[in-house]
Amino acid sequence: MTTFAPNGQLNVTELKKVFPILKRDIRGQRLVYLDSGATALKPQRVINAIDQYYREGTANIHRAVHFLSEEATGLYEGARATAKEFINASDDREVVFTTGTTGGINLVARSFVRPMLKAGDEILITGMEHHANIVPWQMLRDETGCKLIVAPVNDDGSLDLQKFKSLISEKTKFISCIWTSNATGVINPVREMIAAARSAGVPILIDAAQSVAHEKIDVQNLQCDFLVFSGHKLFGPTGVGILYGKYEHLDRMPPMIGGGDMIKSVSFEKTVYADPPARFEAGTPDIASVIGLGEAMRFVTEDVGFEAIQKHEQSLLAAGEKALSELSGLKVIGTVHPKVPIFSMVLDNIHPHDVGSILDLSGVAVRTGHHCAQPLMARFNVPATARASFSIYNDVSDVEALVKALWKTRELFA
Amino acid sequence: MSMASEMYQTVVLAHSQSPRGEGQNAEATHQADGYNPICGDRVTMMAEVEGNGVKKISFNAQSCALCRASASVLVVTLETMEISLAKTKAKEFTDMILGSGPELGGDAGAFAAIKNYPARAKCVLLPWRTFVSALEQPLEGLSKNHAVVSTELQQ
Repeated sequence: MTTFAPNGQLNVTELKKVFPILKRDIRGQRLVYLDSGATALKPQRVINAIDQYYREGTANIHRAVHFLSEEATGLYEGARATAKEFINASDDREVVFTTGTTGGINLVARSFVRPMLKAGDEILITGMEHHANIVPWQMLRDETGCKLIVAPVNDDGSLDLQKFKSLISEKTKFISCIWTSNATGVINPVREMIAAARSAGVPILIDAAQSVAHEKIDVQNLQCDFLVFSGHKLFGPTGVGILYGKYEHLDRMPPMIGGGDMIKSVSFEKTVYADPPARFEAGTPDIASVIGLGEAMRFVTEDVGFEAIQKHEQSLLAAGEKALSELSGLKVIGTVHPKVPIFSMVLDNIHPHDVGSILDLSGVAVRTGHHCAQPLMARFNVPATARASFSIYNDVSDVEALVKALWKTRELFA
Repeated sequence: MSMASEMYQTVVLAHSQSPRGEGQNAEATHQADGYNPICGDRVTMMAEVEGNGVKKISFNAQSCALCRASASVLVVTLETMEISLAKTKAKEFTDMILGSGPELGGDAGAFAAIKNYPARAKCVLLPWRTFVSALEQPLEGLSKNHAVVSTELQQ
């Protein structure tokens, strides 16, 4: 039982009150925020934690014996312990603070995958990846002559799982897959994908950026080798994220960035690197954001709870699907279940950018564009979509506001 | 006037629905492509230059309504002008959209409110910036790698 779901049912009216931005008027109307897929709003307790560090607790970490430094180190490492619990890692040392999902994928690409690649080797991804899980592998491909293999996506937005499995061969050296599509909200069968990777002995990374705010992550249960996500999609600050890696993997990875705090000893002749995770956290990190991310995880666990989140979001998904199906000429890309409440919409003869503008003028914030997933847009033969993504602080009134604004768009362009 | 009808004025909607100058012109002497990587909009602006004048302007657009309407308004505004005057008018239009110049008359004035919506200024300016670039790119000398005008590279 959590603060905002005392009987398992999310009290959205009360929950909205702890997100100060929702008190803002946008262009004279209440904010209907349907862009949580891009970044989630921040609750007061996360803002307070960051504010308190700067106001009362500013100090560097792992450096000095003075009171404030020890306190800051405690808060920073406390956030790591919280993250370890949050994803159910077996050890704090398997949690690396990064700059975000992108930073995590690049670190694994550079330090884990790059050293074992040779020309002709293959890296397997899916056709629904975010650019963050395409470009780092293309960079490796161009450097090493390895091949980037892409598992196809079905018309309903689901992954072709059989094809995915059949693309794993003795040439496959690494697999990197999105869990939940940021562009469509479709959830991939990651357990089966991980099982297929494991049975072939190929290490696999899961991009959980779009999953982390919607369902409980348990890396021991998943048995993935790596998992990455960003703090800002989990009601936390920007600029910070988590790389989970099995310790045996992290331990054999060289650092990507050298500097302070990632060493055991330095002389001009030789430097001995620190053990993970410090090895990958060179320089003064974004201490305030790490503390804020820890607080965001406690907010989700203590104040909301994943059971209540899933129940609420699935009811929003159903309400959204029903309401949007009544709008003729509107097509949703990615209709297959399971999915999170993300609606990637295309309106007949109306460009998504125009849809986005009219919605914005009605106070409804959606994302328009290719969602950093241009290959997926090309797969569905659309240059862009208007994407409405719902979160815990949305309710049916937001679905209604979206539909009303879409009708207005249709009228204007009729 | 509602905010939606301020941004999408009747004149703008009419141009978007029945654009002037859309399509190929086999006689075009100058051409450039424009691209907005943020939203994927693409325009190709073509000019048939004769002497010092722009005899005919045509375009192809895969774009939002504002960008398409803006290309059509460009055709109406600049066609048959002398090149130097067309460039001056394009500069005046750009200044109006960026809020640094006066409101223009004619159909171009229907975009005046865009200065209040900077996120859409790129859509409206793309055809104009691409057209000015086209005037510098005679087709006979056009290489396959000719520059594409991008909204993300300020020139």
